[in-house]
Amino acid sequence: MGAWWSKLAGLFRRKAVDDELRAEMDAHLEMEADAHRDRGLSAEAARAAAARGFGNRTRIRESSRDAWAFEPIESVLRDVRYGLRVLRRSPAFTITAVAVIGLGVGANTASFTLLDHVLVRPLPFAAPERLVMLYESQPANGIPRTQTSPPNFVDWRAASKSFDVMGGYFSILFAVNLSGTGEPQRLDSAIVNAGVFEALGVQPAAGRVFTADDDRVGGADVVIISSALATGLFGGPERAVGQRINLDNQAQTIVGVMPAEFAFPSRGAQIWRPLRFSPALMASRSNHVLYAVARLRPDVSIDRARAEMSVIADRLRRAYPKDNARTEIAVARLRDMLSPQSRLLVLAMFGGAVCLLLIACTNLANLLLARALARAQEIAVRVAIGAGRARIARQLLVESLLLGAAGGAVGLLLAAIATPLLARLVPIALPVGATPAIDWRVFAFAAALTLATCVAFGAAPAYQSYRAPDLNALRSRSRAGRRTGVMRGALVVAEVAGTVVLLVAAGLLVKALWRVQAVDPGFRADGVLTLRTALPSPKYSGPPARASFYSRVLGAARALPGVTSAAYVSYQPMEPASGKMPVLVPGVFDDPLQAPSAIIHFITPGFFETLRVPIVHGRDFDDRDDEISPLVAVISQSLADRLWPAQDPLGRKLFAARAERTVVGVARSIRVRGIETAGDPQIYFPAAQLGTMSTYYAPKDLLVRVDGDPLVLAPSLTKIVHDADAAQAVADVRLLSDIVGAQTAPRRDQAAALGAFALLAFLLAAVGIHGLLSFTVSARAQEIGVRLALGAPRGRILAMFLRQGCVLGVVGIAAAVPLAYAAARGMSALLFGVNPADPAIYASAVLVAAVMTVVGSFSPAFRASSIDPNTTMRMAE
Amino acid sequence: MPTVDDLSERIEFLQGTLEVLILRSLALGPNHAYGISLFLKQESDHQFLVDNGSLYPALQRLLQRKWIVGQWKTSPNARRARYYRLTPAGRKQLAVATSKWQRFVQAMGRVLALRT
Repeated sequence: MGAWWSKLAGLFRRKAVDDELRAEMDAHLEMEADAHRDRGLSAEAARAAAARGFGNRTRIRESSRDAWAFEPIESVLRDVRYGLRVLRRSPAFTITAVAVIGLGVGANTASFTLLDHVLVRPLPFAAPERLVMLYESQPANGIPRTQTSPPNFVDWRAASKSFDVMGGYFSILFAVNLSGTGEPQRLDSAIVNAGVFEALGVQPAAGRVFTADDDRVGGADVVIISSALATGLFGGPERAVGQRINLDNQAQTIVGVMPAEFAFPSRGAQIWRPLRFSPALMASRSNHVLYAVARLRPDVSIDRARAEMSVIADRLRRAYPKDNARTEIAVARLRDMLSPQSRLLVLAMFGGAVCLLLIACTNLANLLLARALARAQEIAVRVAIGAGRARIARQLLVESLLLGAAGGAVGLLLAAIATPLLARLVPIALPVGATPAIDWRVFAFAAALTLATCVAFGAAPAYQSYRAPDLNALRSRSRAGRRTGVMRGALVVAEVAGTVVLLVAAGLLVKALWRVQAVDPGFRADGVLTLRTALPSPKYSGPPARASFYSRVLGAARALPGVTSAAYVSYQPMEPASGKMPVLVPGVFDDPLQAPSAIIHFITPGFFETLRVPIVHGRDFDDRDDEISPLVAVISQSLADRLWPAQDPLGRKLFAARAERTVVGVARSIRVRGIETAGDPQIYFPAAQLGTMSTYYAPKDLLVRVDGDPLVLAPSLTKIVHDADAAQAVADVRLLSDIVGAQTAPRRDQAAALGAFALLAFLLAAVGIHGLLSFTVSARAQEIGVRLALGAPRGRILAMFLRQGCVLGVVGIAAAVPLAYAAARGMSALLFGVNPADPAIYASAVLVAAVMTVVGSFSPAFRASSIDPNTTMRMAE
Repeated sequence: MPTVDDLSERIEFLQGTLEVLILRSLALGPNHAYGISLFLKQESDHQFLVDNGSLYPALQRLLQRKWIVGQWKTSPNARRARYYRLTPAGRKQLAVATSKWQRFVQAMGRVLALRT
């Protein structure tokens, strides 16, 4: 403690000590000069002799002060001040270096934060490594994972011993109307049983989670809500517990509020309702609606659980051959829910960022090397006037650290901006919160890497040039560049190569995006407005109530000016909630496991007209297709080709959606499950012939085709729905073209992210080439001057430097092409069929890199050719 | 000009030697830096040439250990100079160091004088 105080006091005494030493040395010199004068030297000569004999006063004063303990702190402060001054003196270098570090650090921190959030970090549940998902699978039919039926789930749960607890939930979220608390709202609700909460090991923010009692059929009407909803409705989680809300016109009591970060089964869920195995749900083993999540017992491995489930699957196959004949049970870790595409995408982003970081580091290295050589002169001067060796090393280190710190700060800022943007790439299906926080470990790693680069390429070479003092450095720096020339060239080659790789990757993604955007969905989305009403079950469970609602709304909508057609449909195109079911044809496809499956839609008349989907054979539905007329169906061309290849399907019978129906028309195939999914055929039924199908399939989406701006009609349509039923919430008023456009949004985000990386890399590499040649030109100015003076044509000088740049460019490009191909092969799953070796993309990337090389080289080369020999030759004197 | 500046002729100071010699010179009475260096040069018969780059830091180390103190005074030829003198602790240190060095020198001498 005392030592510490004396150091601190010494810090303040610094000036006093320094002044005293100065005075003491002055006196010493005077006395020595006196002695010389006594020996007969003139006053002037005596002073000179004394000064000569005395030694380097500054260095002596410095090393004398070193004896005092305050030296380290004090001299670091001095180094920092000096470093700042030096950096301020060359703003172009400083700004470039800081920007380069910032970009590298920022891009990496942001993209690794995303990677970590999606792929690495444990899921936000207790002991997440013991959480598994259970699916049905039918490997024989190429179905790896699918939902199970309630009866199968109940049997799994009863028979298995590998799990502490198993929970079941509906695989999709159900939209519900929330009313009675202000403006009606439509919210997504999850239907889960008590086992889900127990398996995940989550605690509510307030109240309680579901218990076994809530799973009982006929149990109390209870719900759990998200903390965002609780705050919005009641001002906080605690206040929400015990309140009553109306969901689809049924009163429910809020028993619990989940914490904000709880996002199970997926991010959209705002309300959790109890899953109750009613007799209707338990009626069929082919009713594939549930996912199961389970917690492994601590002493059971996932492989043992798989073995046990496979025995159970075998027993179920034999007990229920009709529905389970080919059914296996798949057990996968919860973490592996993510699709391979999403995983690949995140990895590709990270690869791009790492590539960028390497380019940034090489560029930085290049900048620093050039600067170190340029500073050899300054350092030689400082050595000559007596700077200590340790001092110089420390000084250079401090400068590097200053650059690194400033760059790190810029990088942190960039990461803070970029992370929310990149977070749009987080797959929606993952049970984690939306926005990841900046990952400090990554930031530290990227910052350390650039700092290491600063030290290795900034301080080290400069220090080297001091250690082996190049006397030439004092006079000129003409020859100093040779030593590191090869290394600097290699760095530029690496930059060019990295740029080409990123350009190719981004180019391929952009081409894939174009290709997806060019896909014809089979229907015309422009000019169609969509909105959704809920039609809650109790009030609209009878067909007459629905029919009258549809006819009131559609009649009024068609009467609006500009409306050319309108229809109701169960789930508009691109809506993954629409059901998919086997279509049986007596005598041809009797086995539901082998029959083709089709996406089912219940529609009102006018659907095909509204979407401009042509009926290629037969007829559209009309008002005569009501609940008492014969059951009919329209099938897509693709389904017709599967069921009756090369035959006329009209008038044929098929069995689908729990009834036998007659085919009356064939419509052109459309893409319904997503613009990138071509495979699923479609089958359509009249809305009035829902029969015994769940009201889940009752049409709820209104489609209106409008001449002119469809959004103008939104208020009128909302009013029409409210006039038909004041309690109906209208939600999701959107343009169908926006919904289709949203299909390509993730691709746009991917292409934009990689494109940004490629652009940055391009700029960095151009700066790198320009910097290298500029430095070479200044270092060789004298030589060029001599050549010009001896009559070398200026064009030759220009060509010489251009050639130097181009050689580096060509080597970089040559090295990059195989690397780019390897990267493209790795990401081919993201490319929507674009050839990973697409020649046009490679040619463009190479062309861009070539242009970059020439442009980057031209200005220094031009400067070289316009050197004035007179000036440079004088400089050499 | 004297040629003692020649590096090859000079005796290198061993670690800590210079501090002991300064203490010894101050045992005769207060002196300034220039005086100390003159004293060491003369008393060592020009074998020791005290480099100012070593002398001043050594003085600072001694000051820091409180073995000497400095005081500005006027010299006999009317120059202001900083005079150093031993503290009691410095005197004690000199005694300890002197005996240590004498033992060291005797030991060195005995070993080096061995017949080969």
